[in-house]
Amino acid sequence: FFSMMKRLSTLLSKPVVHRIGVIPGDGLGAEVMPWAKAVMQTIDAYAPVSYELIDLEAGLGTYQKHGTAIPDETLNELKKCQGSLFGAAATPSPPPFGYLPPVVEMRTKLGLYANLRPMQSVPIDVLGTRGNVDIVVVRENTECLYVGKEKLATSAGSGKLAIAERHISEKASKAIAKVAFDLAVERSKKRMQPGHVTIVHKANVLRLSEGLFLESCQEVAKNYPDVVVDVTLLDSFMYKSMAHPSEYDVVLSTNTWGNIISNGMSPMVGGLGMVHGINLGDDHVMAEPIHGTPAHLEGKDIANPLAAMRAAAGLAERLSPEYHFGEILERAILEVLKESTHLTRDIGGTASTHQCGEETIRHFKTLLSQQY
Amino acid sequence: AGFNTLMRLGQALPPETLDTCETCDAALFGPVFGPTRSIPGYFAPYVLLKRKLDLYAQLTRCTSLPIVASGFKAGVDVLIVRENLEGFYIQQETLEETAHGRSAIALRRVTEQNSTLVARCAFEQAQRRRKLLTVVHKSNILTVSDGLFRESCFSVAREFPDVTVEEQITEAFICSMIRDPSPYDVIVTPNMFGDFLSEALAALVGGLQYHSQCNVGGRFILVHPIHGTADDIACHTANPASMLRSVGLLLEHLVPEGRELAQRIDRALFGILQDRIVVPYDMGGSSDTVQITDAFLERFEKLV
Repeated sequence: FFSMMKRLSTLLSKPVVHRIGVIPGDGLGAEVMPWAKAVMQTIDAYAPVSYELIDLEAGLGTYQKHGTAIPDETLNELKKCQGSLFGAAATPSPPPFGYLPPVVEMRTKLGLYANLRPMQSVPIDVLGTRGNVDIVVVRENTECLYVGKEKLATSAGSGKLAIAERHISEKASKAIAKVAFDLAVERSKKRMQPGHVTIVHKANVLRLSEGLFLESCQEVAKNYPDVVVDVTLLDSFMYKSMAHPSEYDVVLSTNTWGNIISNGMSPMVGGLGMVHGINLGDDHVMAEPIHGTPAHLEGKDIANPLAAMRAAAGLAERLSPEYHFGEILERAILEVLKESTHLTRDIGGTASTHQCGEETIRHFKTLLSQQY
Repeated sequence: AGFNTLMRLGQALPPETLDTCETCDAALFGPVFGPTRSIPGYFAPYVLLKRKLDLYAQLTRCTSLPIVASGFKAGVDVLIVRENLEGFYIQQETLEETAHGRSAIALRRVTEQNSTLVARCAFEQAQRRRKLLTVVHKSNILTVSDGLFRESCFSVAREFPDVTVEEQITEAFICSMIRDPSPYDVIVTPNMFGDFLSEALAALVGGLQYHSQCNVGGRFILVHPIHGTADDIACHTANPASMLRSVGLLLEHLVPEGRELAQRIDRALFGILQDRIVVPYDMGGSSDTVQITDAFLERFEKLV
């Protein structure tokens, strides 16, 4: 009775309702999205925050039905939301010329200029796992090779020729650098050590464009004298980070390398089924698991829901930082990992998506109701 | 050639060096220092050499070291074939002032011609190996340029019906490769991915000190270690393994007896390491460059 009254009073006193777009996408994205939604629904039920979840369409299924992977209605609705959850979209094979994955369009149209991917070690025992990893990859989210500017030409003698443009601007580079350095300062308070930003680049090959990125970041660095900065070539970074991952804190890079770096490092913290990304803009936050839609895992109820669930909690934490929803879900996940009876295949268990998702929600509910 | 040569002679790749190379069948290169800021008149000598000698493919074979060394993956034998002449190597970049600050554009080129050449090289290698080729690319974002690359690879596939060909998007591949590289045989990939994929894989199986790369064209072979100049390592302490194995790699591609010679080099090198005649810095010891080389030569002569 008392717990019911407590819940009722919590529900009645909610001032803010966040509008959240929910875009499952295709394949595994659609399979894990119900668990991301469950996280939001659980928070809504047990904490003093309320969400209006709006189901929206995007992805390959949408492309096949409507001729566009990201319909105007979806974008218009998203513009009215404070945040959104994106699953994953499959790409038509082969992709038609000029096709851009819907998530890229959403990042551009919603002004999501920063892509943050946190990676922390978890107590699991699978191939590639490393301890002592506590890194956030900060990836520029608007330009580089993602601007969709390519051309095809055919010459009589030597066949087809394609040119792609890579755009780097001082403006976007400084904006992302600021996010990285601010994050390093914020983290240094929790980690009790000076912030450390590693700028990863390929300025030896791309002297002007990557050189501009580097210079812009180093310009911003001057405003953060307490943050340690180091600069590493992409190739060097790949092996150094595998050799000594504990030495890294915030890793800053351009759009293309940032994506590859975070995917490459994910095996250290449990793989793609565990890692989420937060796409940040000034008026919108879109969270997603970083995995795609591997066809061979589809339809078998074996997908890991934790990346999508972490995305949801990460979104909730961004929108309402005072409630620490991300930290609370992490505690729930830690409990589930320690139990080790409800883990999906990729993290060493035999449980289904459902079993893992349900158990995590169970722990999350308990922790939330203890807190609120 | 190299940065010091630039300082002394004003060119990183003097014409005499290039002319001499053109009269040879092959060249062995040491690592070259690559400045990260723009230096007027400087062009990376490797890039120039590759272009002038038409070395359209770079092969990096990453195999688990035949000695017990902790932290390295066992059971791996993967060949990465990288497109070597275009991509961003065309070095066409512009920088301009705009109302919102400076803005740069870099052009990345992919041609059917080069993609086909490198694909054919990769398929030929796969035919000689375990007959599995994985095309690694980013055509989900680069639908036109990497679309052309993958299309060229799948076109060439028709000439090699006995090779199984599959494809993976770069970021999915790197995650899979780092987790467990053993299922892969031959990888073919555009220029911009091949460099860091090779280094990441070499690091996984035994360290950069032990791997070399072979740049091939129709009529010339250029071999060099995979590692750079590692300016943070003290003089004369560098492990010469990659240079020694580079010789083996060169001979393997150059002459029929080369394969046997390469194996003998490996037997000598890994023999002295396994028997702990010398222990390089990367394995926790303090044997320097000269000591390791001397021990190697002694063992190699005994094996002849």
